[in-house]
Amino acid sequence: MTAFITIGNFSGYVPELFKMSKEDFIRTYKGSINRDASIVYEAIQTHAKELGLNENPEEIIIVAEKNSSAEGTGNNEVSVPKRRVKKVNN
Amino acid sequence: MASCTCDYSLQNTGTPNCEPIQKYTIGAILVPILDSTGTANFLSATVAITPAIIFARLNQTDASKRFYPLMNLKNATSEKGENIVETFDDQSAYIIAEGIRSDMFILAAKSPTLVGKINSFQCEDMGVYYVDKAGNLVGMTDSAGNLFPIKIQKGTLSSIYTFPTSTTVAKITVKYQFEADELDENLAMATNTVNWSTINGLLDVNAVYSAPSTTTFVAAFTYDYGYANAKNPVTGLVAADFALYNVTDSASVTIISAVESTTTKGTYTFTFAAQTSLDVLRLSGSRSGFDFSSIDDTTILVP
Repeated sequence: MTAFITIGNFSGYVPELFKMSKEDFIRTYKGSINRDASIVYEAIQTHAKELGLNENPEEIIIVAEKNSSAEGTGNNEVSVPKRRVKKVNN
Repeated sequence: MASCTCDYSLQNTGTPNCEPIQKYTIGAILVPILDSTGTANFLSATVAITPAIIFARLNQTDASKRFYPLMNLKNATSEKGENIVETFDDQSAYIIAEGIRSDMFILAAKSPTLVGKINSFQCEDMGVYYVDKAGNLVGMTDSAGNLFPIKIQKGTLSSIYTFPTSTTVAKITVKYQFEADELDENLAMATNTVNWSTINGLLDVNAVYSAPSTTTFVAAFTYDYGYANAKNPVTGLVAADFALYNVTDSASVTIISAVESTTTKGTYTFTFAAQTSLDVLRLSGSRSGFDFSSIDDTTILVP
C-alpha cells in the first residue's frame, strides 16, 4: 500500500499528515481542497491505520524484511523519520 | 548492393502458401542507434514485445535509450531511388550500388511546436521502427532474429510545418533517407501484443515557482504546447509524483502535500517539512508519460 493519498485535488504523504490535529488540518487546507476537509482528514486517519501507523509516534512499529533494500543505516529500517521507527528483527 | 559471396550456392525462390505481409505504415518510432554507453538499441528476439516492454522504452529515463513515437501517420510513402550504375560506350551498364530509400509521412493537425522536437533529432544518429496497420513492428533484423531500428542517414531528417488553408488542416511533413547500407532484404516484422493506438511519446513539463516560504511554495506546471502567452497546464499531478531535495543540506525533504488550485489549473501548492531560511530546494518529478527533467532548471530559495 502506498504511503500517499489522493482525494480530489489534494494529495499528500500520510505518515506526516496523520500527525496533524483535525483543527490544524482544516485550518491549513480548508478552501484549497475541493472536498470537505474534515472528510479528507478522516480518510487520512483511516489510511494511516491501514499503514500500521499509530497516533503515538514513539510506539510506531514498522517491520521491514531482513536484508531488505529499504533506506537507512540498518537492514531493518525503512525510509521514515528515525525517531518514529522501532526496529524489529524478523 | 551487397558484395558477392562466391562460395555458396544460389538461394531458392520458393515461398510458403501463407506468410505475414507488411501493411501500410501508421506509426514511426524514432530511436537513437546507440545509447550513451555505445550499445546498440534493439529489441531482442528472445524477449516478447509486450506492452510492458514498450512502455518501459517510452518512459526510459535515459534519453539515449528512449523510444520517441509518432503515431497516426498519414500518406506514409517509401521510395527507393534508382540504382547507381556505370554506363559504358556500348550502352551496357554495371550496378555500382542500390539507390537510397527516401521516406515521408504527414502528421495531421499538429502545431509547429512538434517541428522543433522532431528536428532535435537531426544531430543524432537515429533509427526508426515502423508500425504497420496490422500492428506489426517493422525494422532491420539480424541472423538471430533481433529487431534493430532502420538507420536514418544523418543530415536527412527534416520536418516542415504547413500552414492550414480554407480546405486543409495544419500539418507537419517529415522526411528522411535510410542509410545506404540498409538493405531491403534485411527488413523484417516482429509480432507483438501492443495496442499501438494508445502509444504516445513523453510530454515535457516546465515549472515556474513562486511564493516560497519555509514550509510551502507554489509551482505552475505547463507543457511546451499551447498559446505563446498561455501554455497548456499540466493537471492531475499528485505529491507522489515529486521529490524535494535540499541542495544546501544535501538531504531529501518530505513533501507533506500537493494541492492543485481549483481556479488556476496546473498550479500546485506544495507543503513540506520546515526548512532553514536561505536554503536552496530542488524539485524533481517522475510519472509515466511525462518528462520532468527540466523542472529543476530553476531552484527554490527558502526566504
